[in-house]
Amino acid sequence: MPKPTQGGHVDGLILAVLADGPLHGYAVVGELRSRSNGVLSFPEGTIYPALYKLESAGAVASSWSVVDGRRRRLYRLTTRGRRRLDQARVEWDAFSSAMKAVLA
Amino acid sequence: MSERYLAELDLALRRHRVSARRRRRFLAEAEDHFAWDPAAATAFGDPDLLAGEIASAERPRRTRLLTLVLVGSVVAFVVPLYGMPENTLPPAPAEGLPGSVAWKLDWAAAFYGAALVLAAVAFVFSLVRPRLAIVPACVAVSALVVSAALGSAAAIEWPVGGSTAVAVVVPMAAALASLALFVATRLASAAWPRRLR
Repeated sequence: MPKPTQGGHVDGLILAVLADGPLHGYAVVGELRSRSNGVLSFPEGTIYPALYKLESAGAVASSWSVVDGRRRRLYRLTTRGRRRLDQARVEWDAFSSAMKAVLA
Repeated sequence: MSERYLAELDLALRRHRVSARRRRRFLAEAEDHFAWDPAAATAFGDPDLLAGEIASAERPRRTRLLTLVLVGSVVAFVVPLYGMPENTLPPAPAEGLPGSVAWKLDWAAAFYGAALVLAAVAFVFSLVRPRLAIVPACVAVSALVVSAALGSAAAIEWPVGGSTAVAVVVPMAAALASLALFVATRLASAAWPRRLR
C-alpha cells in the first residue's frame, strides 16, 4: 500500500480545493481553513512553494489576472492534477481505513 | 509590518539564489496576499524557510533548463572545433598530416562525440531524475574539455584552411570558460542547497 507523506497530504489538499474552480493563493489558504473548520492551519506562505511544485509537476496551471485593479495569480487544476487528486483520494482512503482498523 | 517582511523575504530569496523571475513572482503574490489580509505577514512563515522551499521547488525546472543549455553549448562547440571534422571525416585526413596531429584529432573527435551523448543523457536525467543529471553533465563537460585541449593542440600544430591558431583557440577558451562557470554554479547549488530543514 502506498505510504502517504506529509508533503503528499498537502498536495492532495491543495488539489482538492482547486477541484472546485480556479483560486489565488490567499483563497486556497482560506478554503483549507474553512473546510477543515480551522483544524488545518500552517504558515500561510508555505502554500506558495507547494503550488510551485505542483505547477512544475504539471498538476496545476496558473496565470495572472486583474481583479479590482490588482494583479493576482490564479491557479487551476489540470487534467494531470485531477488524476493525481483521484490517486491521492484512493491512497488516503486506504491509509485511513488501515488506521481505523488498528485504532478501533 | 508587511513592507519590512517583504524586504526580509526578498533578501532571503536572494540568499537562496532563487531566480529573479521566480523572486518577483513570489513577492508579487505575497504582496497580493497581504492586500487581502494586512495581518497575514505575521502568519506567513519564516522568510528563510520559505525561500529555501521556493529554491527547492525551482530546482527541477532550473536543472532542465541548464542541461538543455549544456546540450546546445556542446552542439555549438562544433564551430570552434570545426577543424576536427574537416580533418577526420572523408576525404580527410589530408595528405601529409603528421601522425602526432592525427591521433589528437581522432581522440578529440571521440571525446566530442562522448560529450554530446553525455549531455543528451544529462537532459534525459533532468526530466526523470533531476538530482542525478549533474553526474552526466559534469562528465560531458570534462569530455569536452579534453576534446578542446586536444583540438587546440592539433590546431596550433596544424592550422586548417589558413586559420590561425589564435582564431581557433580564443573562442574555444571563451566557450570553455562559460561552460566551466555553468558547471561550477550548478555544482554549487546542487551540492550546497540552502535548505534549512
